[in-house]
Amino acid sequence: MELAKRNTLTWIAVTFVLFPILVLVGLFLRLVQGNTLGGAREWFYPMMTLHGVGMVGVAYVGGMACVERVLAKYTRPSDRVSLFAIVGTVIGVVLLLASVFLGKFAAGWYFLYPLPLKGNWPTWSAIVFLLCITVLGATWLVWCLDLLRAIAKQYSMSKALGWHYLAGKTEPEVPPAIIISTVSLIAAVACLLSGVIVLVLFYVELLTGTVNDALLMKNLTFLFGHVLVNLSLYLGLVVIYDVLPQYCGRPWKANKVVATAWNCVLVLVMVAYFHHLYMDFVQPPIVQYIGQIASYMISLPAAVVTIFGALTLMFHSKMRWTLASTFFFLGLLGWAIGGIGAVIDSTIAVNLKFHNTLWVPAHFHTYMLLGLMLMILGYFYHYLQEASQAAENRTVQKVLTGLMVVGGYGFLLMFYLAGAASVPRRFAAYPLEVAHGAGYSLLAVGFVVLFGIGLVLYISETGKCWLKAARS
Amino acid sequence: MLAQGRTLVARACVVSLACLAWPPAEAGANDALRAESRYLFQPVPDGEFTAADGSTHRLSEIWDERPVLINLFFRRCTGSCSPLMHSIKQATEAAGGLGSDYAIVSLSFDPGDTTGDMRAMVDSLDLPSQGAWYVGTAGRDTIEGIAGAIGFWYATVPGTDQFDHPSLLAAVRGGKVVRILAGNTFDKGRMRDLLLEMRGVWVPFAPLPRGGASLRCFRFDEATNSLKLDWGMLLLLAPGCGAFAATAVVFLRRTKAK
Repeated sequence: MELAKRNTLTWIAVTFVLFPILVLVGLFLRLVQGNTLGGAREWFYPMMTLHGVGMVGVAYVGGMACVERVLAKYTRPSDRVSLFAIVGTVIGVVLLLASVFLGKFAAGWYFLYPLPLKGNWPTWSAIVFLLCITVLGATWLVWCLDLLRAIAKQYSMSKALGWHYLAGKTEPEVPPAIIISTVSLIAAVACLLSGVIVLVLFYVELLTGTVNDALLMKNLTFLFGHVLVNLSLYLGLVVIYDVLPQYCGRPWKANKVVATAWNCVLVLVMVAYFHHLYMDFVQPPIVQYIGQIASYMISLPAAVVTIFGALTLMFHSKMRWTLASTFFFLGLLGWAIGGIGAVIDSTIAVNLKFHNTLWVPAHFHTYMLLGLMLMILGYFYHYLQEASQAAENRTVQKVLTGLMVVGGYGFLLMFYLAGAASVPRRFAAYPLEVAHGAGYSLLAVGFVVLFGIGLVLYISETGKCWLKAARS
Repeated sequence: MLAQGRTLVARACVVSLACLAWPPAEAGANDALRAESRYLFQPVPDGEFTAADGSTHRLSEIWDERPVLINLFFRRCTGSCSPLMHSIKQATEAAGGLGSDYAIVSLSFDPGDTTGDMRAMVDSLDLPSQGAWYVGTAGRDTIEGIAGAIGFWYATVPGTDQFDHPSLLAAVRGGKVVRILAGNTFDKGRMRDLLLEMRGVWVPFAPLPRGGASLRCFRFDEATNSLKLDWGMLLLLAPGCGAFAATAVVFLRRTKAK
């Protein structure tokens, strides 16, 4: 079997193993918040850390694996670098598991300074966690640079970013996937560099005792964390732009609008993260305003252009509905709904009320779980189906889609309602003032079970294709 | 089948409504909430006191003119009272403005203290003259009112002539608490921030207990009370600039190779 195919199958297998386990970890969190599993409450925060880092990581590598396959149509990414990324990611996962299970490290996925150095866990577990982020960051940085190198082999920088469209030219034709990938990969390099700086500052403090500036650390951390999550979504959109046209029977070409939109995204994505610091009163007001304006503006080019583009592509087309195209459509839907929730939360006046309530996990679970993950799972099915030519079981596919949609949106609804009812996020046990949060958690558990059954059906259905593709 | 489905949906709706209707419980007394924020912007009851020189004043006379720092002490204290007053004196001398920008009122909460004791206190600590720092005694109601407003408490220590009590310094502007500092000593920086807040200037930065960081996004300019960009800001620009530079290098190498 060629290395490229083996790598893709490995990425799919990694996702199929890690994603359901992390869903179970999420289920555990909601059970604890629902006042069950009281004896396991001390594990809430370590598991929350595992769930957060794990899900962000799975979404990112899943998206990158999809983009790598899409780019392989137009360029030649290095298979060895992809293998290197697999090995690095596995090492990172092992370090994360050691930090969380052996050291009970529990500072949350974005390890906000100075918590990793101040928590009720051994220093070594914090160091192992930071090493985990270092390994993952370094590996992914190399991976990003290699994909950029592959694009650069075929396209000049101005073509890869679609600048000739901005100048009014229509030739040469550059696939939208190339433009969006280039934008996303540049943003990825920026966020990973930010992660490197944060980690260096952490290590310097660990080694020398030098105090860091909490505001600087928070800015750098969110430049890393927010952009990483944001661009992961764009990786999913690369798939939509490239594969959805196959199901619609129409091409989706780049033009001035698409190029303008994604070049705007490249600038705005670097400053939208300021909305994470609204509560930091020492951040100057002008920066807060930039955060709100950028958060609003970024939704226009990326979301509006993409969603209208996708809808016009599908409208009156001879759409071929399969599990893949259904997931693409539902993924766009989840991305749009979660995006609206995000824009609402990025409004300063609203954020004053919603900050750190369950509204926050509500919106990011919407675009991550029912947005990006559906796009990734859809692409995996598309890839495996093409590779294996296995027969499709439409009934099972309809059932699993229904279970994942009902379970997923029911689960999210409990987050939204609880957030609107002022239930705070990241509470293992709710105090009397917000005791109603436990009820929402228990209802969410039921919906997670539905989603989980759908996911198991998906993996069994797609797993058959995986096995066939692996044997062929 | 359809009927069963309807029943299921109806039950789900009932459970959802029950969940939504779950009333938030009343916030109970929580000791963890006992903090400065509990007293901020609460009014301090007015009251009369007798200063060390025998003159009588009302608290409102003083805070109507300018902001005032209030602390409670007792003359025979063998613990923190004298060191606290001495520390306040040193910090105010360093920060300046006492008597013109603000006043200090130090009142004894010990019913046994007399005006003579207050005079002795002023002399022993060499405190500034009247009109700037009032040291005096007051009736029980006045003391209790102030203590309740700033979170101060005191209790006799059995078998001694001493009281158990915290060391607090409250900043009062227009009759309302704007800040409470706790501790036996106050340095120039804390006092400066306190005085700025008493004047209504918002102070966004506080010094770190372990000293400042070398790389910061912003620094607070004490002379102008404004934020200035600091070198750490360059670190915030570095990822974006680095990414574009790395991209340019990757693409330029391709051009050269061609």
